[in-house]
Amino acid sequence: MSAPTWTGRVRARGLAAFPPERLLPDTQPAYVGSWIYVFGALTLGAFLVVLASGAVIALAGPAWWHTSSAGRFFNSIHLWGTELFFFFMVVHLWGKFFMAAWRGRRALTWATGAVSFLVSIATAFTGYLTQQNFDSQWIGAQAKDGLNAAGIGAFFNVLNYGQMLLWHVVLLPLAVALLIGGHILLVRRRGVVPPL
Amino acid sequence: MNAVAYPQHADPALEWAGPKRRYDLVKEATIALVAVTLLTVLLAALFSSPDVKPVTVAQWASASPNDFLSTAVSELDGTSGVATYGPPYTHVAGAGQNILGGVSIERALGVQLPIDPARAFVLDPLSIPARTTPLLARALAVYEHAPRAQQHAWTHAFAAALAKGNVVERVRRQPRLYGPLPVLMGELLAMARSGGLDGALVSTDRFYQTNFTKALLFLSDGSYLESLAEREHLLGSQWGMMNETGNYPGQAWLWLYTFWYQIPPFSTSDNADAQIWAIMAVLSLAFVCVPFIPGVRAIPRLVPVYRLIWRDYYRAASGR
Amino acid sequence: MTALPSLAGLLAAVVPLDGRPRYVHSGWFLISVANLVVIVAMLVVFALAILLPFPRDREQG
Repeated sequence: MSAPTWTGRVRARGLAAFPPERLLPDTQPAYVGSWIYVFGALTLGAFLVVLASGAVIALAGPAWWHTSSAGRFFNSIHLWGTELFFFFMVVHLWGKFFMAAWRGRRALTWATGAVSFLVSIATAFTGYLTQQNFDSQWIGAQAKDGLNAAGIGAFFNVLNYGQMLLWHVVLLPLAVALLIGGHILLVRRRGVVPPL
Repeated sequence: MNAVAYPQHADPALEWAGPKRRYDLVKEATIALVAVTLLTVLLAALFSSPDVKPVTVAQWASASPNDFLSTAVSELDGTSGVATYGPPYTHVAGAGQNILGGVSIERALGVQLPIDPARAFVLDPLSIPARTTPLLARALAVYEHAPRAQQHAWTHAFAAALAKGNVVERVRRQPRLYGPLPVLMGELLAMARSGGLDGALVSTDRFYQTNFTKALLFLSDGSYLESLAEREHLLGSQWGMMNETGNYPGQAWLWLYTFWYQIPPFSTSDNADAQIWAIMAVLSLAFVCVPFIPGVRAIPRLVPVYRLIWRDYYRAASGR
Repeated sequence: MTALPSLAGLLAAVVPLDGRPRYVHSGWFLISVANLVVIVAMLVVFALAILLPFPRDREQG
């Protein structure tokens, strides 16, 4: 038999880690019986609403929502979607903390969730910075002092609108999406943590 | 839940071998997405979103000319916020916040975004109308060729006159005290009120612009922007980091970050930003590493919310 | 095209939250009413999520 291909190796490892019944199960352990369990899915739903509304705003450009009531409406969806995203994420976090959900080799699941929270804060922050209104001016003027004190203010310049817009629309959502994706795959890999 | 015996205290590292229940993942995800979409659209329709217009230099110069002129003079004589800031904007020995003792990342990294406040905010913008205004061109030449000490004497005198509130009268009585300052400041005020200074602060030698650093630094050196922020409870001392304009919810998730600024010693410290960043960096790392921190990771057992979450399981497991 | 003005009207806020901001102030503690509502709502929703009964599995009944 000829040597295994890279593709074959990737497929074998993928299937070993995520057989289809584990990736898309239609049963779950009987102890998964509380409304607290839906908050991960609600967080993901809010994230998708934020992405979609952001994409609509991107269609017409960042100044659209200041001059169009339809634009303002999609900006409102983007803002309230973000409020709901953090709302559901924190309730999800409280639930997972009190379940000690990091047990049984699930520390990385906890860690990816925690880092997602922190990167989401940065994403929301760049969003506030790129609104092009009074809020953006004030937040930038204030935040520069903290970032300068930490030594990163010149490299991550909150007064540089172009830079902040690209971080907000491209780099940070990609990072959040990758972190959430990894987080969900880890949940599927290890399964839902059993009771204490 | 039927009375099948449940594994008690199952090893969380092993695959669950006990009873299962039906679970429709795709259906749950779809319902979650539809529910969140409807809720978001409802909130957007009910409450919309805030959009307080940005402040322009023209507005500032019109609403608060004294504050505008005081700021411009301070940029000239090197006493403004930016001029005394130190890294990353200006070279000022010893400036830059310390995390602990004399340790300052800010100082270590030095000036990365160099700004000459006098040139950036006053002299370079004025060179534009000076091309067609001989009086202004002469005043600029006199100022730029004067010795530093003479420049300081003029700026100090003008700043003092501004502070007394009757600068026009004082200039008329003793014009020699102020040198070219009255012409420079009068032209700068006119340029600002017309909107020309807004454009000059953003423009460079390239056509397209996306960087508002100079304009925002100049605005925040004055008090006008801050006075508007105070009305909206956006100052650091007002837990401002968490707040939004009007009655909109803000960034409640920043509660711990803004909390430190409200309490001593940080509320009166010159190094508050650096110190609080360091504290939040440590706490963020701890948050990520909760599974490894003894004491913190034991809290779920000590505060047994889990007994409520899994109450059905425990009932079934005990055979009740 | 004639539907657009009424759509724009529909899309304006029903409950405008602009205007004089309302705050709860006690000593050094200061929070906006809006943020307080959000935080209290999170606590209430968390409590409800834990306390409300979850539908049993119909097949295992």
